[in-house]
Amino acid sequence: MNPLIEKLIGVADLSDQVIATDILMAAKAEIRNYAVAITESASPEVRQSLTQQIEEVIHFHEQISNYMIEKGFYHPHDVPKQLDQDMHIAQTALNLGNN
Amino acid sequence: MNDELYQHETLEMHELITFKSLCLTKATIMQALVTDEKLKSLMQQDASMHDKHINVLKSHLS
Amino acid sequence: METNPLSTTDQTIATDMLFEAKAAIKDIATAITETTSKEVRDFLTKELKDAINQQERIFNFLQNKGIYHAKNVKDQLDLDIEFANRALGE
Repeated sequence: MNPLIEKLIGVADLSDQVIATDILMAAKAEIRNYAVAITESASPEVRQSLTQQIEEVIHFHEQISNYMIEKGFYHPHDVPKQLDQDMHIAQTALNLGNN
Repeated sequence: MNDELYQHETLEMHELITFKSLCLTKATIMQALVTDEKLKSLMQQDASMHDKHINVLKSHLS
Repeated sequence: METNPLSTTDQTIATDMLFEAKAAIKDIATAITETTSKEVRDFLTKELKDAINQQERIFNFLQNKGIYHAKNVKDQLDLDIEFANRALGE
């Protein structure tokens, strides 16, 4: 098995959280990308498709962020707690790179 | 390429397609790494959404 | 252009890195516009420079591998669709 994946699995309690965070960040970036693309769209068919797709991505963002809040991975209403957790995850990432 | 589309529009759609292809690949591969069933099903949902969206975007470009 | 082509896995990871670098530049730039302290602004400005350098490195890598044709739009568009088709498993 890929040694990095082995290391990640070694922190199994974190790997679901890391993956869910990656999916959440991707959904956030995607919503921004769609919004920009919509401002560049000139044909009505494209605008309609992009508008429909951005709505689906927004709906997905709601689901993944609710999931992360339920799991205690994400604390949008408790900034100090979120910052604490972010520091913990950053340290874990630094440790992965260092050993 | 569809003559009806403007260059800017085309480039934005390509950026979206490339980004979504990455998302699709990651959602598919990383499903195997997660342990939580709910997360796994969310990732399946994510992958099929990207699949559907990429096909629609492609249809606009061809 | 280098002759040895990238594997699909390597191309996917490198493209992911490119998109991360692009997102980092935008995020840091946005953060700079929100900062009020000189210390934080100086720090973020340095980070922004690093992020721009990283984007350049990864972009040059992909361009040398023949994956980016920034100057030839038609070729680029064809390659993008090929990449999407591989992700779709077609």
